[in-house]
Amino acid sequence: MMVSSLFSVIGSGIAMGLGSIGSAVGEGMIAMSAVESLGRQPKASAKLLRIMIIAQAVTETAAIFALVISLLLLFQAGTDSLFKGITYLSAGIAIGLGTIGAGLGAGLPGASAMKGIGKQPRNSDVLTVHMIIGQAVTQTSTIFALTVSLILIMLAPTGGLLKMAACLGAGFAMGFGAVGPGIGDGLVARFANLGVARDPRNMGLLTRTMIIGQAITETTDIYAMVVSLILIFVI
Amino acid sequence: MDNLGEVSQATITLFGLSITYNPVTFLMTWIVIAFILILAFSARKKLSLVPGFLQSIFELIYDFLKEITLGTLGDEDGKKHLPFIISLFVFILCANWIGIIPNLFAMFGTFLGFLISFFDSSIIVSFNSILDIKLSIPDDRWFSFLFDIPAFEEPTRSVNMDLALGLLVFAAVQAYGVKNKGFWGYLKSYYNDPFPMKGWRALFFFLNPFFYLNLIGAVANVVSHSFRLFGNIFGGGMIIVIVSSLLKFFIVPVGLFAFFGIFAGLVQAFVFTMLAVTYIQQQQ
Amino acid sequence: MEVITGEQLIKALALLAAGLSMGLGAVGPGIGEGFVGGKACESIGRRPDEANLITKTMIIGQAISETTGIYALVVALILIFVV
Repeated sequence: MMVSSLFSVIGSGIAMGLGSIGSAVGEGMIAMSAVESLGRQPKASAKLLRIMIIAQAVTETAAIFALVISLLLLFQAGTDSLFKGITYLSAGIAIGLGTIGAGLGAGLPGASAMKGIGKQPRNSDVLTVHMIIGQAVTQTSTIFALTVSLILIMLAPTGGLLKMAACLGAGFAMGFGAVGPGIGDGLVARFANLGVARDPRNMGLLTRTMIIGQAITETTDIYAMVVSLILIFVI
Repeated sequence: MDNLGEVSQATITLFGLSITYNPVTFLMTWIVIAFILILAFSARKKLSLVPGFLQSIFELIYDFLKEITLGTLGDEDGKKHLPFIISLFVFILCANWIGIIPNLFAMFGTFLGFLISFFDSSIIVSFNSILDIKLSIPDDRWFSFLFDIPAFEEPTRSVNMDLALGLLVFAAVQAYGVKNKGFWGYLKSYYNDPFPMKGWRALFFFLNPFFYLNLIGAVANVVSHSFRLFGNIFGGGMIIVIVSSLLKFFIVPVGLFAFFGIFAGLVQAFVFTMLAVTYIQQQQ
Repeated sequence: MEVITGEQLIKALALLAAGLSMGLGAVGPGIGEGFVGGKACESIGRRPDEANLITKTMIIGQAISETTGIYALVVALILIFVV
């Protein structure tokens, strides 16, 4: 067996295994809140089911990114070298760890939207729009992880010990770095959704504050991406 | 794909100094400026009480930003900073969106080529695997120009442009702080509680750890402000480039352009502008 | 197989450590800033009139929560370029 395909298979397993944790827990939270609201408002069941499926589909995005990288790594065939193998492994680590935060984070606003619809089914349209904006911005951390792991997969196969350690470091930096901001973004969107559910007239103000809050929460994620790009391209 | 991290470079010699710059960013910045100017002049030509399409877009942007800026900074200061804020927003928005047009052309061209290949045998579609589909088109076809789109990229994808914008805002904010608080008041804001420096002890400001903390904070603000824009636009552009090349520009997902191009571009332009407003507010 | 000297090994491990430092250092500030932003949104939902004051406080609070993230960045850059 070639060295690089050995590492790429390990990376593929890490990517999919770790990458499904966040989305699974997030979707579970959404379903939990939906069921809770159903007990309160059985008449709104069709509406609740529809919006629950939308929310879960957006939450799924993180796991789908992990699946894409996992499949890419599984069917990887190219130059065989230890260095290439290490980059495949790093790509798997980056996307695997990087999707945990965004998966969990996208679940939080979904759950609060379900709760809000359970309290006041009339507000469901406004809440859905607000929830989708919040979840879409929450995905930013996963998108950074996806960028870094795609770059790592496409990297030219030359490098020594230093470059290998740098690539592994880049994978860890982006992977762990995306966890916290992902969850944090979800928290911001969660409370903003609760505010919209209380009074939909404040939606414009709350969307504005939510996007600014999420953008600042993302700062450490951007630092992580800058460090991993320096590790990949400058070293 | 081996030239993934490379940027195009050019060198000019000016007064004995050799200056290296990125010609693509340079060109695209001028294109964006020309684009905005043409839009603005053509909207201004037909001003009417019942706004047309172009005028209503500009009025929408103006009203939206005016409400936020005046609400945050107060009426007097808000009006003073409004032109700066609106120019920042319009420039970043156009810069983020300018990359969509050539990409859409390439996508449309590939789709068209695939359709034509059913009737025209000179186009060869080679289907090696699901990730490797190639379209080869002879040069004498009229639509072949759609496949040779040069690498037009958003100027905000270059880190230099973003740092320049961040430094521009930083300089404007500090100048406003000095003007508003006076020079000593401005310096005092760098060594705040819990160790107030009074009288002759103010000369030993460099012993105060909070001075360094605030200094690092001020630098970190610029870094995070500009790298936020860079990271989002670069990340989106990188994903589009890599996914398109993996799929050989054939099944480029339209959703990618919609999300990274339009949604992320709008959100980042808004965030950059809003943070500039808040930095100005902190100097009041 | 080329020979790996001790100096190269130290440099390589420093690069790996830079990645770990930035990665793990970004977790805490991310969650903390999320709490600040979330609670700010909650209070705006309750008192929309005070939105400007709350947004200002939110941005200052988040900037300070981020300090440890900046330390992690500084350490990572030192590990990459100085060690």
